[in-house]
Amino acid sequence: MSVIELVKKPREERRQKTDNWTPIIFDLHDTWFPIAHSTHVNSKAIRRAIHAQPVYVWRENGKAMAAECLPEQLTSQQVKKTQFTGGSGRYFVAEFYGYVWVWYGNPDAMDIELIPQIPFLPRDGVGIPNYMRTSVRFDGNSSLSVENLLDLTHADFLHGEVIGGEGEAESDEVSFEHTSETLTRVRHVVGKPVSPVMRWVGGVRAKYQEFRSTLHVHLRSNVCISYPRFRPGFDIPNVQTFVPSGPFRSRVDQTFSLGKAPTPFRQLMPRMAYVVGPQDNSVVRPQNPCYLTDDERADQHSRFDAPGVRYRFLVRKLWQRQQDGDFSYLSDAEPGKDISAVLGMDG
Amino acid sequence: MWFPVGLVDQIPVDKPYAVQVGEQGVVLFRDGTGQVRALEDRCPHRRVPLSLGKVIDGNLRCAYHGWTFEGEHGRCVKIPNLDSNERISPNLGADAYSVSVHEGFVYLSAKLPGQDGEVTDLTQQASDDFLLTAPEALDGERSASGSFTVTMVAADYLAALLDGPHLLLSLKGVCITDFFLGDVTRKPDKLILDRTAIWSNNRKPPETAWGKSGLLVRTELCPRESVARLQLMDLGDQPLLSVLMAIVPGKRGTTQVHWRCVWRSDYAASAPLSIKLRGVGNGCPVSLNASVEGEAIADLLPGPSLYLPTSDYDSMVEPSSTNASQKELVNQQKDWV
Repeated sequence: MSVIELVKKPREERRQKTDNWTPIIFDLHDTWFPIAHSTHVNSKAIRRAIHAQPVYVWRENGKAMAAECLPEQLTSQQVKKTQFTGGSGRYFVAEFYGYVWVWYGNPDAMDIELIPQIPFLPRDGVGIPNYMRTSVRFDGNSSLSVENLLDLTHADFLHGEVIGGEGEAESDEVSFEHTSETLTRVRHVVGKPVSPVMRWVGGVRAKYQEFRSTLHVHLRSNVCISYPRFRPGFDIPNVQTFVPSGPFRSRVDQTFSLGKAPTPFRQLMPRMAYVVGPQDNSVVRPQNPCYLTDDERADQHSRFDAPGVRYRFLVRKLWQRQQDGDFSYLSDAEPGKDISAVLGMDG
Repeated sequence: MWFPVGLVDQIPVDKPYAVQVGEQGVVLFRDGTGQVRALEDRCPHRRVPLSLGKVIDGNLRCAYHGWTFEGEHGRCVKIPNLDSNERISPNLGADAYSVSVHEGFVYLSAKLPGQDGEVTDLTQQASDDFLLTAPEALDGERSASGSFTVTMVAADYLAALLDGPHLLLSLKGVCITDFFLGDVTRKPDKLILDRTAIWSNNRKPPETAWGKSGLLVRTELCPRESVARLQLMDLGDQPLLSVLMAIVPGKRGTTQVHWRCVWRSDYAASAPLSIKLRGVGNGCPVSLNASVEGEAIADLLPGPSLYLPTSDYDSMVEPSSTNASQKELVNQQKDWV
């Protein structure tokens, strides 16, 4: 039986570069992961994962707890405990912004100040309506899922009937800035057709709107803090947590802050996650296997990918540093600092 | 060389169509002139299958970020929201394949390992031995076509076509027997095998019937192109129907079978009344099995398939020298003949 090989047409003018972007290898340590909505955790343990590490979360006397085994197995010698918990089986846990956060890494390096600051959510998590919380699955590696958010041009094609629209804009500019631990992308679109959800649910009657979307990504934990501003229209601040559930899937516990948006937009907009999520998965799911192994061909980019390219560079650099044994935060990194201005909340 | 990968009438005018050749995904679509184009089923931007996209003005637009590609060379012709004065680099593009269409089948340029990939005109390859392009000389012909994926390795499917085609397909009102008429005819790129067939409504006709067979089934295989033709013929060697098959290796041990059947409108003219009364002669006379009976396939005794090459470079004139026991068996068969 022949092993047929299809012959591609020659394309001499095309430069072939390699970048070997295989995001499944990136398992970054010493960071806080928002493992669950606070409201999802009660006295019965629920099973989650961070990369390959099992995480069980529950409450004892109202306090959130997390371990790498079921609570009743904590004293068992049969169940192996790892260095992630210093051999105790218990992770460090904190509860802020309506999430239960779990420290992933060396317990000796745990620092509560490293929990990302989310300026539009109450730090104690009190008063966040349940309808502003959603949980969706992403059928892709967490890095690919973050890239999905970084390049929002996909919304026009994938989510056209909800939040996008295939119409061209007057101008579409993308910029970014970064530290060794975070990347902030700003997309500024002028003259964009009003998104269907904002028109029909939000009551925005204008034909076009200006759209400024800021996304602040924490590289170690994939916590994405998003601040889209529509004019005319409203701000739709939200947090998306892309917790890596193994190398192939990620979990997104999303929290919106729509207190200033009108009813019924504020109630319905979070529900759109259950429409948009499967639309994203329709491409991310088949995309994911293509990034499991080295591909000799580098991905091609347009100027809209500049933040994504930088994201890859920064993640790889951070990973390489950890491979070399350096898990520290550099002086430019302050994950917990106030990012209100970075998100453009003040203007 | 050219390798058939699908049927042209399965490619919609306004949508892409995905085909698989081994591990390689290919997307077929029609450009603005209706010509079939083939690109690697992978967007060079973020590796999403292009077959999830849309055909817009004869170009293929990726479903994810809207990068759009023309079909002839795969060049990226549009990136949404670029300013009108921004130029798209010629370095941006998907990989393209040369396409030929003949006798309803779509062919892509291909090569065997170690060979060069020079693409010639399809008709130069289409010798008398090249099955799918052979003209069908069936008066008053009718035709039907289809595709399916079967959970069987392509090489095994080809072997079963020689050893037990009745497990893979059925001909309405015809019992295909395993009584071979002579030895396998072996040509450099092709195997030919005749077997008897009987007009019968039963899968296994009574013993008294097979000796009166008035039909034969000719199976022709070109293993290199992975194509086959099965013909039902009358006693005068005149074809009554012909099934052309492109047997394309797929992923995870599956095989895609793209088939086209051509038959004479009076192909059942010589059938007994009891057969005609069962409606034979109406509709497509062939039915290909999209699912195979695993136990029956496993129990299929090796026979003419011993002549199939076991590697790309084996000659089909002699059985594989790498398989001594098979060679010995074939030599014994020769002795018996």
